[in-house]
Amino acid sequence: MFCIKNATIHDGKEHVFKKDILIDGHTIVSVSEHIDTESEYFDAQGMHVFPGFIDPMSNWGILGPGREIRGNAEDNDEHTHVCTPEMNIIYAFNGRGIRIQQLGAFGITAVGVAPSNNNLFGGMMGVFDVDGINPFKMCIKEKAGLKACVTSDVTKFWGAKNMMPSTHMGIFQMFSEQLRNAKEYDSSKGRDPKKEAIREMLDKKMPLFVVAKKPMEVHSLLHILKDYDVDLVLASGFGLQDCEEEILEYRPAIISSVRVDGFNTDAADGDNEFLYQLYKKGIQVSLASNVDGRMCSREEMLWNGIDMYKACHDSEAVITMMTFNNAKALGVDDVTGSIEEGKRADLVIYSDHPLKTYKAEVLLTLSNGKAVYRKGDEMKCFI
Amino acid sequence: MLHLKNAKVYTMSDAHVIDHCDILIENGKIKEVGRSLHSKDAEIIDVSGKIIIPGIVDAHSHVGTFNVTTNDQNANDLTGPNSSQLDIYYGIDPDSKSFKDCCRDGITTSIIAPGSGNAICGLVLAMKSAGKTYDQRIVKRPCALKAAMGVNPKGVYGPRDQLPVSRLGISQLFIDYFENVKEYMKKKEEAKGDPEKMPPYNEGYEHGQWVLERKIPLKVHAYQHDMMSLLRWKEEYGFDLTLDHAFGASDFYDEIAASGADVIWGPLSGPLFGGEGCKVDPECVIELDKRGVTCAIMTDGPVLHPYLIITQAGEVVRHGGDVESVLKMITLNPAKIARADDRIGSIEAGKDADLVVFDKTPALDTDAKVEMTMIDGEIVYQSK
Repeated sequence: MFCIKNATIHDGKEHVFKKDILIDGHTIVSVSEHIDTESEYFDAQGMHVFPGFIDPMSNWGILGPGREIRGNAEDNDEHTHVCTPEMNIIYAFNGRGIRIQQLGAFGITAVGVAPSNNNLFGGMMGVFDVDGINPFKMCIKEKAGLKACVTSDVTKFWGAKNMMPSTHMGIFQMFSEQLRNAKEYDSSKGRDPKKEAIREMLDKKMPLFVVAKKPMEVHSLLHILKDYDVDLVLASGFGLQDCEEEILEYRPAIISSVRVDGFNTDAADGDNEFLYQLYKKGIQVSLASNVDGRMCSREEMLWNGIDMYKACHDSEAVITMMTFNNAKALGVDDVTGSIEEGKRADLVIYSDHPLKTYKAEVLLTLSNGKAVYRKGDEMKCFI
Repeated sequence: MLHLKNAKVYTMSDAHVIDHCDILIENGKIKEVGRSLHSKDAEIIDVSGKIIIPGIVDAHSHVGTFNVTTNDQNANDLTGPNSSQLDIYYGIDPDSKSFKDCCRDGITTSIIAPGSGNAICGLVLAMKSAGKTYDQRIVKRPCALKAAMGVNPKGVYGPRDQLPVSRLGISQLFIDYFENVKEYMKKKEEAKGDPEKMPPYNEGYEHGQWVLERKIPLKVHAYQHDMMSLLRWKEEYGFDLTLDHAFGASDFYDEIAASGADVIWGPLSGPLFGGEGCKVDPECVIELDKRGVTCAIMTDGPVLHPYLIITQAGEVVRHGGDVESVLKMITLNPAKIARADDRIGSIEAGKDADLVVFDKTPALDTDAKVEMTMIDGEIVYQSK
């Protein structure tokens, strides 16, 4: 048993209160006032406790060139076919590849991991712990979403091989054809793993995550999806102000990513104020460190939160976007994403509110009840 | 005349932070700084409750040399690993949109260098983000000779199987260059002005001569142990040196502090992985600053958006840096590094009126917003 006492708790669902948190093993067993316990405790007087942040669409834990010596691709990038929906990210996830990044130093306790942006359908995403070695033990949810990408990442990659899709016409023709074929798929007439994977998504066994960076891509995507009832998560958040009407009609969840990379010209159209308005209109908006398949730093998830806070000055809404809404998008809100009894003990204790002041530092991060970071433990060096 | 009234001013001078401070501005220069100043016929701007810092100076940037929309670039001339004869002056588009972004985010001066594709890259200049003409915007030209150790030149010439494929080759390029420059200087001296005896004019060596004569520093892309190689050559050839990027500087506090080199840290935007950037230690500037090293923080623009110079400064504060010292790393210290601190970098009488007005304290309050940016006394950005 472990108790966090006198904490200012931000529960991830926009509530802030002062209570104690009792943790038994992996689980939060009580959130209440004045928990009387003999157990080990952490006095969090004057500190702020948040649900661990969830980076929803990352490539943390993925190895490949730049990260290991041999091979021709990142391990989440099976670019031998433009549609690889049957690929399962769990086989590319390496525990040591993520634990070394010590994401807990910035309050991240779980990550969604996705296939790359090169394929139209990249494969199935998973949700993982940030600390551990065995991917199967670290996996919080397998097949958490089907990842697709309709950006120029796809047209540039396949266009360079003189293969379709080299234009957005190609992207959306192929996209709608894949959906149509999967809809008509009958496994008794022969196994087709590609169709089967997309069919699982159409049968709502998992949501569809689509990276779309430009308004034209969102228009086309929503135009095609009008004929389908899918749980859609739209990843990007760039230029969405031009698609307000369709978004309010289709009501996808939205994941927005940080604008750190100055060479990402699409991101220049990001509008956090608009995303916040969507949030207030009940659209499930959440934040990611990036959705570009770019290698990014562990700070960027929080930086994106700070950017959103600058735009809306609603710190609790932003915390929700970094925690509970990401858990919902990934379908793990029953086990994590908020500080509630019965949930995994995924939480971070900051000395101050990190969305408001740079003085805020992480004192302790728990992932599944385990201390994955304490102040002073910071890993600085890879080798 | 302009009269800014009643702000909290981080002067970056010996006056430190002055509450309820006024600033008088005339002809693009700061005329007076202090409490309850009197002015006659001045236009008064009420900045009560605001925070004013000197215009931010980005110590290492490539803005204006990359067009991020078209992917055009004028920063790297990758036709040979030694392009010491080149001058970034001819590679900058002064009308680039990046400069407007700089004004919006409070960067008033950028030290703009060629990219790191070559081992010896070319001349560097410092220029303002706005002004009447290109030449009038230049604060210092040249302000350094840019060079690069490590992975960039390797990445360019390695696949071509040309020198340098490795750090061995890069180091030899540095040594050969400075030996040749020494030789060139010796021949010039021996010629005693006799045009017959003069060595053939070599622009690259001329630029190297400025470095060896310490008229400009060598500005080097360097990580980890590459910094130690540079300190050896600094000692051997007697040049001034800035260590740019400087990831891993925390392994070499004693050596760097003893060397007199300046440190320009950043940009903070990558994971922990193998290779030269594998040690990510933004807090190194806190310790180096305490030991008297002139430290600055960079965006490497347009790699990072200009506002991320403040975010990175904030991360240094998060690691325990004191706000005033950290703000100095994006104002006065880079001005010193550009050797332009006679004009920019602090809020003092006689200096250029380059100021940024915030509603809160930058690098401390995450939501501190630039309300106004002023360059040479002209308002170049005002928030809505």
